[in-house]
Amino acid sequence: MSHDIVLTRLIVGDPFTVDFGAPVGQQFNSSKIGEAICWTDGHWSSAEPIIISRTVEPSLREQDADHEERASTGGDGAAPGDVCSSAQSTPLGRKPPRAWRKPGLIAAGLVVLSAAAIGVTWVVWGNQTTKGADSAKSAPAAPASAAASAAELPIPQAGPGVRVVDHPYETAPAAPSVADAALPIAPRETVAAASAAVQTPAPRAQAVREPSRPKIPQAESTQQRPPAVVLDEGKGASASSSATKPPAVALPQGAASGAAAVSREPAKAAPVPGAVARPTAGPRAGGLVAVTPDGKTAVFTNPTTRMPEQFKIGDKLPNGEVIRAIEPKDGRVITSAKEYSLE
Amino acid sequence: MSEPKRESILIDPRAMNVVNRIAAGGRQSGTYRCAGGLLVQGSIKGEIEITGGPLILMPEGQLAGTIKCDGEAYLFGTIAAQDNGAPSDLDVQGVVFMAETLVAKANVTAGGIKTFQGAQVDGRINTVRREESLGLKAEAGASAELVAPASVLEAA
Repeated sequence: MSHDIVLTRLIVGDPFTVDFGAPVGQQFNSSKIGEAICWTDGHWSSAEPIIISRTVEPSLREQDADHEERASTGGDGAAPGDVCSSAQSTPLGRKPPRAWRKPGLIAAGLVVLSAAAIGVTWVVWGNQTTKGADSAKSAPAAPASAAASAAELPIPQAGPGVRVVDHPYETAPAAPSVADAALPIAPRETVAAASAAVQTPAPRAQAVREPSRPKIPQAESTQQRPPAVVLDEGKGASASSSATKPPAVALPQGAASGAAAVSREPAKAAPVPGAVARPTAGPRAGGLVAVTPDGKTAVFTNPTTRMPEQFKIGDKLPNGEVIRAIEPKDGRVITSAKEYSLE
Repeated sequence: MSEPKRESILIDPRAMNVVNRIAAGGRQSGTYRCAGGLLVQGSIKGEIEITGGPLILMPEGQLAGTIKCDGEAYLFGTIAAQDNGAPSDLDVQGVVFMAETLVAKANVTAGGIKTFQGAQVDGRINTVRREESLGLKAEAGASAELVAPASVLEAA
């Protein structure tokens, strides 16, 4: 093949075309494509082409208008350096053959599925373990929760004026707390204080007792009760009372002197020292303590104040009874309701 | 059976930066370092390095020795063995096009190979992935640096 090419010294010339020939197994549309063999399913076979057609890119390409004109006129309209052919040139493809794609995809799919299965297994197992741990944790927490719930039961709110104490009974007097400071505390009535106010001679301590309250049926009491008489204090009262007064009873010397001293005092005066012989066992509410020898007055214990008080005939006792008669001889006092006696 | 369709290439020396030429009938031997493509229509023997362009071995051209090219190589001619009888070595960065008229006794190492029916190659053909250059530096616009005295080769 001769090429009548005019090349100057500067190697500037018109583009020219050179024939390569027929490509070997690289032409996509070649009729001899069937001669191409490929490895499929473990054996060589003449199958579909394994090379994808692709134009050859020249190593040097100059984007020039003149160059494009020359290229358009010089050959088949292809750019310089391009391998021209009626069919697309097919350089060696670098893509994997189609025959290899299917098994590859299948294998990749299997790997993905297995990984997903393993992942799901891990997740399920992890959840189970966590659930078990949670259940294990929740089981012992149940009684604790019950206790907590019990501890958290609402405490009934005490109303105003109500003091809530921890102990049902106060065994020992405790110092009043701040909360209790606002609440009124009932005064404690000490027996010693009451008894100390009354001086009782030793020999008389046992002689005087509070008489037992006789059982008086109501019918008899109503019948025996004399009509209520309002007696005035003073001479008139004493004169009227003296008419019904029983004869005086001679009391022991100490009691007489004490009774005389007491008679000078007002009827409902303070406790009478020496005239009252009280038992050391303890005061008795509303009980007869002593009777004066002259029979004018009788000493009763005021249940409220627990202090002995003197009453004359016609006086009203703290319990509401009115003294009708005083018998110093027998040591009895007759009231509108009942009869008291010294034992 | 229809014949396979043939392929051709449009060689545009200006566009392809082919500024070096061994004209037909010319003979060169020695070491050639070409900045730019090389068009061989004559005979060159020795150590040849081409940078910045392709190697175009025309059908009447002949090469022998050790040839290195950082572009592509379009081989239409003959690559002879070396003087000691060993095959020549052709190392091309790009794609080597072995036309039907090629007769080569050489070991070819290239980034790609495209063969055409009728090409005769006696030697090893290696294709490698080129990620590094051969170490050749191409200077734009530089003329061919010839060790041998420059000679003007004109077509007869």
